[in-house]
Amino acid sequence: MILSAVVFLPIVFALVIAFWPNKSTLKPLAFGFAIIEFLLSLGIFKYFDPATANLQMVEQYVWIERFGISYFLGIDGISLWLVLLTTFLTPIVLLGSWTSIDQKLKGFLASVFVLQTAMIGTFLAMDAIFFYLFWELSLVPMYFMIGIWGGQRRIYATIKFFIYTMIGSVLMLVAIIYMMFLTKDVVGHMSASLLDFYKLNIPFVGGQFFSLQTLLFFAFALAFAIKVPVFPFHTWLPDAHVEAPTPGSVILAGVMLKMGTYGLMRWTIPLFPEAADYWGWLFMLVGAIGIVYGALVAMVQPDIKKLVAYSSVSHMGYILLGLFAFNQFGATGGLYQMLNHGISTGALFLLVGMIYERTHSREISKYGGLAGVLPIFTICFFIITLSSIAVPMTNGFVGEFLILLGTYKADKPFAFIAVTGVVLGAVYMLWMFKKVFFGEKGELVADEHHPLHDLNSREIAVLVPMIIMVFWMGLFPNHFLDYTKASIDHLVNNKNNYELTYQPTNQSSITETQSLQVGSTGVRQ
Amino acid sequence: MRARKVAHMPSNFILEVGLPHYLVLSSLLFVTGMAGVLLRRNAIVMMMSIELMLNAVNLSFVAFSRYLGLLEGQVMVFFVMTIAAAEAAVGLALVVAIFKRFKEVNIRFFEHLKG
Amino acid sequence: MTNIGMADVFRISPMIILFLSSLIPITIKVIRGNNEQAPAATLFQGLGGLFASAILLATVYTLLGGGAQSTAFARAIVIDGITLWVGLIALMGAAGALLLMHDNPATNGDQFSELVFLTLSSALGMLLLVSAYDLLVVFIGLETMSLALYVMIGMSHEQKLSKESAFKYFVLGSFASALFLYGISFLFGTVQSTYIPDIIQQTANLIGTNRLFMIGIILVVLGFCFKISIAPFHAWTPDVYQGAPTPHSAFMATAVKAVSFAAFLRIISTKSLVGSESLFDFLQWLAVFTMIVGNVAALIQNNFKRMLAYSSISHSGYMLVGVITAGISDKTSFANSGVVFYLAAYSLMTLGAFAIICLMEKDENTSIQIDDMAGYAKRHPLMAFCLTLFMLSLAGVPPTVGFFGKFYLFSSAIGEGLIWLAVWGVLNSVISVYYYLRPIVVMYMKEGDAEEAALDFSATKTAILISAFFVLVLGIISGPLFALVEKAL
Repeated sequence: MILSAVVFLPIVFALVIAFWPNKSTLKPLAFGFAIIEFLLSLGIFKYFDPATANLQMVEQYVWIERFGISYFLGIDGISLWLVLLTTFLTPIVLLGSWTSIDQKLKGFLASVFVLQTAMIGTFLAMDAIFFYLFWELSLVPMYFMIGIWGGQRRIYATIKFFIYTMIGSVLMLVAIIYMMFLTKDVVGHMSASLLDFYKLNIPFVGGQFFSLQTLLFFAFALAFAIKVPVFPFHTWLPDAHVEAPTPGSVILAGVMLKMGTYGLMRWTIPLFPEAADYWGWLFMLVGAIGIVYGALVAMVQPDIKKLVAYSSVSHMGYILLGLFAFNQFGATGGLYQMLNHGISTGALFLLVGMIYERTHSREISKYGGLAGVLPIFTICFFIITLSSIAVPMTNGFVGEFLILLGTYKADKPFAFIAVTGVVLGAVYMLWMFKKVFFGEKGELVADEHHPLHDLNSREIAVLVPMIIMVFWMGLFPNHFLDYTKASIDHLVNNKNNYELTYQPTNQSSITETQSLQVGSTGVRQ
Repeated sequence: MRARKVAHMPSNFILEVGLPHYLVLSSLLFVTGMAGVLLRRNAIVMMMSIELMLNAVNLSFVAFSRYLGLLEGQVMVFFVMTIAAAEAAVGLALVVAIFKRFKEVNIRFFEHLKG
Repeated sequence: MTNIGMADVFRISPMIILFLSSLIPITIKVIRGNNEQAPAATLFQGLGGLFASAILLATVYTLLGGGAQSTAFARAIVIDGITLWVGLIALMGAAGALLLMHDNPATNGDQFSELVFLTLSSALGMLLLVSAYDLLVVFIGLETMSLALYVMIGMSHEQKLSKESAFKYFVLGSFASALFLYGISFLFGTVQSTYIPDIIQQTANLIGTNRLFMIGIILVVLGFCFKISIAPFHAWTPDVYQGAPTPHSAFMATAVKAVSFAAFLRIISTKSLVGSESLFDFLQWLAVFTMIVGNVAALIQNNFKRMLAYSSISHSGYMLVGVITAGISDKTSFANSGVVFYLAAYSLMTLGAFAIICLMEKDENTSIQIDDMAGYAKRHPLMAFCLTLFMLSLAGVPPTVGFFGKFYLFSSAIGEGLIWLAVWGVLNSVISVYYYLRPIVVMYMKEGDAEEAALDFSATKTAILISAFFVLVLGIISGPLFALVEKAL
């Protein structure tokens, strides 16, 4: 029950907010709801067994019997921390946008909660159509958030975001439907359950592009690649990030991009292992290109938000390298880096938002010498910068180090490129930091008429949890990795015939299995 | 539109009238009607052409009915004639309404619904 | 000799009740000396007739069980699953159109009773069309439906565009009917019967060998393609939908399209016909062409009704994919259910979208451009949300019923191996997202003063809210409905 609650409670919250009569209590109410959701998600730990790689806390009910589509939620080590990242970031986002969003507040808060449902649903759904539903659903609230509360070119950015992402998604839908028909032969009835998909044995031919497994692999991979975003398909990201309002950017960078890498890890690689092996080099290549390209382009950006956006592209390249290294280091590092990126880039966008609220400009050239005026802000920004650069003791270091280790084991040239990327990452971040914070005071900083105030207590309250996470994840990674170890080991070791099982925990799932058998139209063995 | 029911032309095609002749005639009438609808611009003439098409079909039905010995064809003709009459009534009512508004029955004035 | 008795009358009782109730408003008007009664009374009489007819239709179907004894009048009429479900769709479309007509300035006023009569007569024609088992009855139903519509459009209070649109619809519709009839005559000549199952049975023998039969089939298909606006015979649709009063456009886009597709399904979709080498590729190309033409043309439209017209053309393309699938499929009930479910879903969404346009029309001469919706969300958030729902559903975004309709349709297509058609279909859905998002963008994200025409719109709003509710609910719980439809088919 707890998984259903975690997924659908935000929609209930959204409805309550939509009909709440009192405008002044809206923001505290929403913040309270987000905290409740976070505490509820912490409750997952009570039932989570880190020793097993099985799917846990499973809830499976028949939804559309004719097609074998079920309401199927389940959690394991891979999705656990991603769900927590989502519920952790949401109250922070709400607190951070306290003063920056004031018009159409109800719509905004409702969108945040609907988006939260969609994101958590994506991470927990174990049925292909159920997953697809949440995947597509996440587009709508983000579309509204960028389009209504965004910057100057918001309409262009949001339509580009929507259509670009949807192109990949619909091809994935065709692939899903095709695989649903394939399950009929293997399981006896049509099923959309991911666990049944894992049982499929799809023929693979090495060199041909048009062999079945390759086509399905690319259909899935394209959808996720656009989301991550992988190098040639990244063009929607800078526009969307820059034009989105601060909370939108934080959620987009913090969680939504992870939906893509999660999809690669949970869906693409285990479902099509031979194709993944064969074409893995391609993904490592574009990952490496992304790292370097993102870093180089970030270096020349005049707009600080765009710089952070391109740094996102660069960081996601690391995750891609880690995932396609197909070894324990790479996979663990990739998963850990997903969480790290959520924290560090989310915090970066929050910081940029704070300074934007004060000066309404994001031009780096207009800043300078901020350290003298806003010392606390500088300290926070510096700590997050260190995390982004992957300095030891911060979370970024653990993730990147594991990825580099894994990549080196798998494919040495890419490791060298990745290491170069680390250096470049340091270059643009420290360069930007120097330009903004040190040196002569820029025109916005030295302006006598608009003195800049340092962080107020609300903003500090927003950043402190992030900073705590940076160090906690950096110094004690095992607190987090202990929960993921079993699942990742299972994934890496059994990649070629990956299967997930679960213990039926409640009566309904047992009867459900029976009813699925009863409702089958195929031949039962 | 030439529809041939027989595989080869018998030598007395011109002299002996059979099913193919009726079908050919009906198709000629139909094509004439079609041309009228597509090419003429006077609303009344277009209505006439539609009536011509429907009557061509009537002819075809009667011909089939006669030469195949089925009565359904002739039953169809009754229905089609009734419906054609109703259609004519509706169409002419529309033409009257158009005439009242535009003072013309030439459809070259119907250009507002474009693009 | 077949006996025609009370059993047959029982089977057509929905149509009889519809006919009788269509006479009530105008009879009352005559009795009152040509004075209109209160529009609400007329509306309720119309809706009551439609509702009674729907109940009777469901009753007749349930009592007969859809088997061999569900035919009537010497097998001219059949009350089977398609009749039931598509008939209900048609009646629902008519009810929605009546609600819209009650408020719309181009249709309300002193000829409302006549409009109710004509709407119900058109619905009667639609019931005939979906229950037809003989080509003659198909023709009669088609003509009844269409003639009533020609008059309805011509009766609009708006003087210029509606007359043009009515005349265009009349000429092209009659032209298509004549083509269709000519095709029937050839089919009659070769199969020597107009009974549909006979024709279907003989298709396998005759389609390859008999040239006349082939021409007959082609003419029948052409006639239908006009009616359901398949490219390249779609050119009348944008003009007619734009010029006609919005309630009538809604009626045409939903009910007329649904029943025409149902009749098409009944006649065309058999394996020997659709699967024959000549027709199979031809139909697929038609479907793809229609989807592309509809979607691409809709991208550049500024008039809201015209955009919806092109969108409805593209949806015809998707439905044609379903008909092709139903044709070549062995599991006919599965594929047919996909088509029928999509017809229902599409009718709901389109009715809702046209209804929102109705809200904006101040008088009979306004023509709503998409940019006229700017800032609508600020003043009327609930209606803006409903329009958003309809647009997202038309685009096929989960969890609306539009997504599931497309999902069922493309699933059966993929199941039959028509993967390329499915890929074209989903890619076209993505193209369509762009123009479906435009009204949403304009409503929420642009500054403007869009205001509803300051009239009492309770009937229209009822239609909108009911449609929106079902669009969402049927999306989330689509399984039972689909299973129910499939059982019937």
